[in-house]
Amino acid sequence: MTIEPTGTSAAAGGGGSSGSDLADVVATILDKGVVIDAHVSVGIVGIQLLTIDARVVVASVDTYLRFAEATNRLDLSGTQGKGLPDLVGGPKAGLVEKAGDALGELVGGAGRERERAPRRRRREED
Amino acid sequence: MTDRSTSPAAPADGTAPERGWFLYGLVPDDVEATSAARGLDESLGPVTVLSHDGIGALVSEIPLDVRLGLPEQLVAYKELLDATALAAPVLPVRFGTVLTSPEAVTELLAAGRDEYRAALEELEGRVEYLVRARYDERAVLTEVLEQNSEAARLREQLRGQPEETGMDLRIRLGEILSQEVEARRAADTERLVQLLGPVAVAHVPQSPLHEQDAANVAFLVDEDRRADFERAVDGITDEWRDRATVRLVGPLAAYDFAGGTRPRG
Repeated sequence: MTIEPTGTSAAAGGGGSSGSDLADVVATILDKGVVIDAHVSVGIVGIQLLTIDARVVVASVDTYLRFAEATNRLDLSGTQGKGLPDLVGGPKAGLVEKAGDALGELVGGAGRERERAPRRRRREED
Repeated sequence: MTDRSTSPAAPADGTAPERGWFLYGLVPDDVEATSAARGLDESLGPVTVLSHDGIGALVSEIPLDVRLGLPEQLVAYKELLDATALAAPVLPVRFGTVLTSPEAVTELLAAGRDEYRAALEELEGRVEYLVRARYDERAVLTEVLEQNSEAARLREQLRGQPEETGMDLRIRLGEILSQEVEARRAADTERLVQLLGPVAVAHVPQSPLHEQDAANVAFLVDEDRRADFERAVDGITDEWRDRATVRLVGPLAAYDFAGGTRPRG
């Protein structure tokens, strides 16, 4: 058996050097694997790792406020816009945005969905 | 964690820094590294295999003054292990593990031989996949507001009010939403495991990566069932099309099964 290279390298720009991909890598490998410490081997070297930013989801007041704000943005009834008199097209703008999102999802268009959609069924490490 | 109290001594001659052996993972000893195998850093030593009695260790010799934990090193570590996993079982060793000498590596292999061999046998012909799903914000929040009358009422109360008012109500609304999303995540994780479990050997739920994550589960899959597994993921992708985006990551080295497999639940 031999070890083959993966071919594309994220570090070399092979399709995955963005921050979110790095966060993905960190989440995949951090604190995983066999632990070898001084109890197992006296030959272990204590090297201080650079701080690795692990994303931990902890419900906090910040989380709650983000959720509340997201709900406030939702346009459920089409009567949004109260309190924003200077936005004449308030409700309409909401509707357009909504339609745009829906269309985006269908054709793999706008925003974050565009990045995700083509990756959905693809193995990322090919 | 590793013991960080033992810092490497200064080099005796004051010139070259001391060297250590960075350990990527453990493999059966019939695995050999080709010259194409990339290590942590092109400028550091190549990847080699140190073997002892049936077990091999994938290592690179590195200077002990190297900065460990750079993004490209994390990526290189992962890519080497993932590429290896496609050819042979591999037990990932926690990133950042460095031993003082080749002898220390082989002593380690000798000491843990039975345990490592058993773990490698479990991984033979198997790879890991991660299935990560994230809710569509609009879909999940709409669902919650339809089903939770207190949340719907609070939202009505707060509508159009400036952000700095009604802070208590805002926090209460957010708390309800957060809990409702958590409850859905638990149910959807269960659903995911129910659908994918039968085509996998084992699974381990992972912590959410984002507050709107629908599920994040690691699966250990037999090589000859990879197509079945990927089809099952397509199935749940379709099922959740209107409410969540499903991502399949892998095949990977078995980062989440390095401590052995767990019974399917």
